[in-house]
Amino acid sequence: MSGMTETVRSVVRADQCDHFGHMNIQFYDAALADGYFHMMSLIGLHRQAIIERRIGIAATRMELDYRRELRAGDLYRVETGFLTFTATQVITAHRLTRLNDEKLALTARSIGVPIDLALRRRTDLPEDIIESASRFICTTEEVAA
Amino acid sequence: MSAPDARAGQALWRGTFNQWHMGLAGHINIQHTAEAIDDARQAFVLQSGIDPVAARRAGTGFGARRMWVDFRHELAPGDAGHITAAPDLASDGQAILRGALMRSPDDMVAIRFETTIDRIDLASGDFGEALPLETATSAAPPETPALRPIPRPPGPPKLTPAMQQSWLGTVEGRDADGSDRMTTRALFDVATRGIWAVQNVTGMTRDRLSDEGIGAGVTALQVEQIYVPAAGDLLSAHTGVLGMGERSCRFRHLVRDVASGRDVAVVDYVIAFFDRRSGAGARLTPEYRAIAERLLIDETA
Repeated sequence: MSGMTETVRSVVRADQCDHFGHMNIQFYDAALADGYFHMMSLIGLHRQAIIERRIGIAATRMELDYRRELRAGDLYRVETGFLTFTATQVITAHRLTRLNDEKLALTARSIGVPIDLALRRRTDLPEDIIESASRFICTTEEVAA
Repeated sequence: MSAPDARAGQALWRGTFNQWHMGLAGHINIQHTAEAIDDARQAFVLQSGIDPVAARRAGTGFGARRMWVDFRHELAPGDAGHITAAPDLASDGQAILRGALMRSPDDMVAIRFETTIDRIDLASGDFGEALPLETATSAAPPETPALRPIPRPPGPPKLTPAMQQSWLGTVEGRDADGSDRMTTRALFDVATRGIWAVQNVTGMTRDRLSDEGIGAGVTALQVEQIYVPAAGDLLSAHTGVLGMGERSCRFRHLVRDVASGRDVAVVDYVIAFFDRRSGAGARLTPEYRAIAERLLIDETA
């Protein structure tokens, strides 16, 4: 077990902010989705592999805890890891840190199930992917630290 | 607590390209790679010990008077990537941030770039002094050689009779940053629209490219920005041809403020054609050459 890794490093854009003057919630989710795809690449489910193996992971549940607001120009980092990664279920954890002051801005947890992209039905994740993902297994305590 | 990946913590930008980042040419559009480089620039400013948000509140932004980009490989939706960069000297001795955007996790170099980092007076949009790049310490060293500049005619850029208008539009709110100044992404968006306008004039329409299996892509691009316009400004782009090779053509956009007539930016770029099936370079057709010759910029005109 080695834990979470950086999957996004970016800047909040003005057009992501709403009339409250902070990043709208839809863009937190967008950042996490990008981080998730980045993590998929790291464990071997990169774009070409998805085309060839026809395996995807569909989210079935998501929980987000907003801790601090992000404003236009703020730099941020998303770290991603897995609380669970089995053949039939993936529980992903994210933490989003505001880099200007290194404060934790968001933690999130999502549950996903593997799907066969040709049949659009549940499937099992192959062993090599499970093995690769084991490098990124983390704990709940790590996520909130 | 984190970072089992040896590369983590070294990147100035890290992210994923999505379906909605794809352009008409069927690959990730240059404006989104420009946006990633812009993020990297802001991250580098922070690593240099300057909080870009606090600086913005005090009326100073950070951008690039000059930027060179070499596009090495196409990026597609679903590709993840990261940028590493470090201070260096450009081929002309200018202090720049040199880096590369690499696809994760195989580290294929998709884009190489050089950018200056310059202060922007957010009240006027004028560039101020450059950031002293040697103050930053934590970026990963670049593994890329100096970029070869696109050959340019001598003297200051000017609008010549052969150049034709390729774009006209307003800097919208979505094109601006938190200080209402136009972003680099938006400037590259203008460049893209100008490119397609000229592609259509030369007969290389999207339908034709698709029907004949021809790929077209920007392989090199350099920007010299004179000042940063504000949201609401009306801009135009005029485009001409700087020169032609066997399989590529060099273009220039001159972006201007319509109301004041002031030059905003000069964007020089190379478009190369290739066979989509074999990946081999495709020669410019005689018809394309004939049309492109009519757009040749004559600096003496």
